[in-house]
Amino acid sequence: MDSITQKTPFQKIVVIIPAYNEEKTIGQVIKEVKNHVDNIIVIDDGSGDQTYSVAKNSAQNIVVLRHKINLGKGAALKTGCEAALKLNADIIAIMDADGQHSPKDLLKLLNKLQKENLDIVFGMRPMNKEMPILMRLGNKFLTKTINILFGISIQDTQSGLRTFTKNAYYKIKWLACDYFAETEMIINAAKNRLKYQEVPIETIYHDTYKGTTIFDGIKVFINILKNKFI
Amino acid sequence: MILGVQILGIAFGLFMAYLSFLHYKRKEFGKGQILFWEIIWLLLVILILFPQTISGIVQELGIARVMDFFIILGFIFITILTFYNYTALNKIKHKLEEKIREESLKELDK
Repeated sequence: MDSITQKTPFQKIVVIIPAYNEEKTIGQVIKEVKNHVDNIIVIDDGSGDQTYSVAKNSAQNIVVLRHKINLGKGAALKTGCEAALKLNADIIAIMDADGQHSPKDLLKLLNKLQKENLDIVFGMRPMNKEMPILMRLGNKFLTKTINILFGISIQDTQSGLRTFTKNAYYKIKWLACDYFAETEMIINAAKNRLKYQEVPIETIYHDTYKGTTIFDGIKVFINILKNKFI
Repeated sequence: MILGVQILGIAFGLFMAYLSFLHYKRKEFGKGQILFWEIIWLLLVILILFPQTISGIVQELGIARVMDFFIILGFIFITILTFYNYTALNKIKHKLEEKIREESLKELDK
């Protein structure tokens, strides 16, 4: 696996992994990532399983924070980013805890961000048959809507793998506690005219019952309209 | 003569007055709250018993029957209550989120 050889000196990279009932995969995700970043912050978002202890025992350079009750992915990411800033992060990366993102892709995103001096880099999943059909259709619809309403050109607005600089974080800061947070980041990036790029990534779907549901998609759509018109 | 629907309305009003009193006794309602709710339920019972007292206002508003007036009033009340609950819930959600996130970040300082 590549390491971040192009890493700019003194740039501290912190990866945030929000996790909710991910005891089976979180350990492996941490092991794969730990050698490539300065710090890992896992936010156990009120899991009912052993996510917290599994994460805690997975690596040395890890910070595990716990929400006593499940608040949602957006809230977990907020906590993670605030913790990253306290750890003096220069670059923040976020990735899912279910093992659907490859560490290789995380490195690709980090390299792109640093090499091209961008504010934010999004992972772009292939919209092929690997992606569950409902998710594919919903994603295409939401992506089109966001692109039209906010004058941005992104192929995959719902990807959970992304990296951004500390300064960009202050501009994309989101209010949502749920899955709308990821969309809100894009909307805020568009509003603040941040420099962004997408990088193709592979996605491994382990569990089709986890993650966003059709109801989350509807909620995201309503929130997009609220964000634009209200 | 009291109609069946009036008996139902009075029973509802008395039951709600009792529920409000129960909340007061359990110290879940303050003095102001119990007073507000008991006045509401008392007014409801009085108006159900003597609907003719407001028939003038009802006619003035162009509503055919006092019964219809009650139904409209009920809808208005439910709408206000739903809006109030929505804003209160949002406030509580926000406070809860802040508190839980604040507490989780404390682990960082340990």
